[in-house]
Amino acid sequence: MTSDLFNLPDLPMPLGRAEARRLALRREIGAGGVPRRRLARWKVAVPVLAAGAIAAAFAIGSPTTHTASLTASWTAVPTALSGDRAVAAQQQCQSRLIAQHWPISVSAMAGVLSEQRGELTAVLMSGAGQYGVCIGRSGSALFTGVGEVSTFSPAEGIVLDGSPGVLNGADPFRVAYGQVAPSVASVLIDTADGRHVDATVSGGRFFAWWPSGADAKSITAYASDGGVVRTLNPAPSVLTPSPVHRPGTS
Amino acid sequence: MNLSSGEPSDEDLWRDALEGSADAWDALFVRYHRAIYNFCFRRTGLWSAAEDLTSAVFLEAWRRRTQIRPQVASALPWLYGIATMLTRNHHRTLRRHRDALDRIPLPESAGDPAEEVAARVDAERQVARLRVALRQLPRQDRDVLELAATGQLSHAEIAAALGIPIGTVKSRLSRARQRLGEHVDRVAREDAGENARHSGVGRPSLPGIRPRRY
Repeated sequence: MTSDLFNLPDLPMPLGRAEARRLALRREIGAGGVPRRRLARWKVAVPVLAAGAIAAAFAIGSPTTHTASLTASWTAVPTALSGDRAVAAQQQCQSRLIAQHWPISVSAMAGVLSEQRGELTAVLMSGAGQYGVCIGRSGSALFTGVGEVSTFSPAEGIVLDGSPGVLNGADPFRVAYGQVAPSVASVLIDTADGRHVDATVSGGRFFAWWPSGADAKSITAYASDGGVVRTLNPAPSVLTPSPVHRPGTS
Repeated sequence: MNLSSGEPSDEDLWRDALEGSADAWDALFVRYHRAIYNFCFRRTGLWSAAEDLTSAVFLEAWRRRTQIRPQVASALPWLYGIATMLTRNHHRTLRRHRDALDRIPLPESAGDPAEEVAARVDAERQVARLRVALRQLPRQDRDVLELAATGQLSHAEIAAALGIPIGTVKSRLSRARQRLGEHVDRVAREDAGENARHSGVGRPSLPGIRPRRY
């Protein structure tokens, strides 16, 4: 039986070691000696990963400007980045992911797509079964995150790998990304607050973000002839967004 | 399940921990360090690494406390999720946390009781067999299976721990069980054939186990 393989007794730490480690943890916490990310000057609560959601871990970079001023220029329809700008954005995203020190293989990731919405550039990277996501502009990371690529069959049409990337607080926003079949030409996201957001679709992936705390109500994949390939209805966030204090922005 | 009076519930403890209470983190460590320690051991096969990784898991969880709040009310799935990530490449993790780990003044080993030493050696042998079997699986499937089998997490808790959809948890778990079962059957057949050749008696065996010869 395979279950026998896991049938192992739990053993305690050697005598005195657990206590020493408990005291050390207490000291580290008390001293604030936990290693900090180089980019993190403030942090944002990510209350929940709803059913059908992903984004295994989010780390937030440090904005040099108030978030609202960055997102004010947001557009529902993205524009593609040109070759050189796309490469530069992807390299910057890779650097940001490396700086977060996540236990992921950033070097195995390659840029999948990049887009522009107003002042902000977004990059989706993928490789080794993982995603890396960056939103920001040159020198100013608004959002950096990682997630896992789920199993996908083109017969499904579309699958949502990451959403809602729930970021709340004074200037909440949401992120959605996933995989699409070759037959999918475009993806449209309808949000709970009435936005219609065009996702960027490229290389079998789709990606979108929007500057509000409203979850995606539906995500529809369209074929090139305008026919609906499939519509997803993600479950909304389970927990109520919690207020967040951001140092320097109160 | 209600806990006895005087002991905070998992939910209360978790809420206080997320708000940054050092006492709550202290209590979380007391409550869950053994589970995380044994989980890390099963993932690495090394007791010494498991000790350091246990410290790293709690340090990392503290560091990330304001970033993710799992759907479940208990801290344990969240800690398992961190442990899963940190043990994927435990050498790198331990290098990254080396400064903090070096600050832990560990007591001189007073020597474990003989029976505990024997239990650790036995556990290392069993885990070595387990690691061999789990190497048959893709990493993502292995993570899900280990959280289900070792951590005893529910589908929803695994989904929250790894940040993946519940449907993905189910499909990965099903695939992992099937592949592992096939591996166990295959090894059992090979061992039975080997036994039959050597002694004329076929006996199924777990993966990696060879019949002891005295």
